Amino acid sequence: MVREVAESCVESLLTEIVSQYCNGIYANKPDLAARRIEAIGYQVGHQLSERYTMERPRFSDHLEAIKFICKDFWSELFKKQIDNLKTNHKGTFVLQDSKFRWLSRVSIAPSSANSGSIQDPSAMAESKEAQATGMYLYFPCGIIRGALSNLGIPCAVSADISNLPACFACTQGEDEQEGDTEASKGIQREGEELHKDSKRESREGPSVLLQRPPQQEAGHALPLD
Amino acid sequence: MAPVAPRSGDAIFASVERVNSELFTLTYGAIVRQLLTDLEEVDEVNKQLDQMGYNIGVRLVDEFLAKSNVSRCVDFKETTEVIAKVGFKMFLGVTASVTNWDADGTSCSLILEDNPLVDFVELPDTCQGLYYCNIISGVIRGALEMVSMKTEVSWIRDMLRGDDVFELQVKLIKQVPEEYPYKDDE
Repeated sequence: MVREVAESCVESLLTEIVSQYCNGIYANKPDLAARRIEAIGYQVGHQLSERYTMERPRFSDHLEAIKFICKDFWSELFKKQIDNLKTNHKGTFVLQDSKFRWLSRVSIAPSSANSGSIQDPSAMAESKEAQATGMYLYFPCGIIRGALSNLGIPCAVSADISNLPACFACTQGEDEQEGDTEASKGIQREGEELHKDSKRESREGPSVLLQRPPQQEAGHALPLD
Repeated sequence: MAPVAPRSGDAIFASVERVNSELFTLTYGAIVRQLLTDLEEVDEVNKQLDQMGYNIGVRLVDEFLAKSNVSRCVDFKETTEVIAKVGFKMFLGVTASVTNWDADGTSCSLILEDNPLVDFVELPDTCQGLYYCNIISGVIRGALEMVSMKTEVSWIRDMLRGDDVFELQVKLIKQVPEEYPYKDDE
């Protein structure tokens, strides 16, 4: 039997990490706080993917690994799959969760609806609410990055919350840390859908997008260890 | 006569939203690791974990009261029983037992034989002073403070330090009488 704890335990921890790092340990240094929160997520993702892939053969390519994250990995964490996966075939993947659990109870002020990506500091400054919401997303971003890196896919992951309360996280190559909002928007338009959950909610909820390093060819196999 | 509090949290635990405990355990472990890196001093980490627990307890007590359906506890003894049997079960899925009462009934021990927080955990030599589960004592202290009980909660035995069980001493310092701004029957 799978051992379980109440969901509020995990939510409480997440709330406390964000609050302690943003208001206590690194008050007034949101960059440092964000990096720490992401690092905690990275550690978790790294260890979880190790456990969840124990009985599996190696993934033959990146797409297979990404699909594993979207389906099995996400289901273990959130009891649902990623709703939508898109790619631009240049190594960028966008994962979209239209009802992201960890944000489903975060209240979002209407004023934050236009405040853009969490990697855009000027947008962050515009709205405290958006910043706070963004802080909550560094943890799942870290989890995805940790999991993928454990599967041999080094990448950067970021969240796009420009469509609040729908929220998007996207990843991109490590050497290209800016401009993700534009990139992800392009992907949403041009991207080819690889997988679509037939029961996708019509209600626009929080979503998570994920992209992979652009410099690597889609389908190019990397050693997984 | 006081209504009987639920003796077990099984039904409540079955009804709340649950997640795979690995996520919880590994997240907590990653937090402790990160705090050790950032705060450097083990004592500071202990304090930080206790503070985080306190903040969680202050909020969690609301969820506990809302979902558990327990009625007012007649005394501290009943309170600790409810924490051990219902509280622990409802959130962590495990049950504690209450022993070692002192003569005047203000101090007792919660014994935890199974603790999901420490699955996969082993303390390195450099962390010997760490109270790894300090968040739990903070949660209990915070939650009890919200129901007018000032307590001191400390670890007596710790499986990560080689003991056979986890033992938490809960000491009632002061019971703040509740004062209503209105009369009960209004």
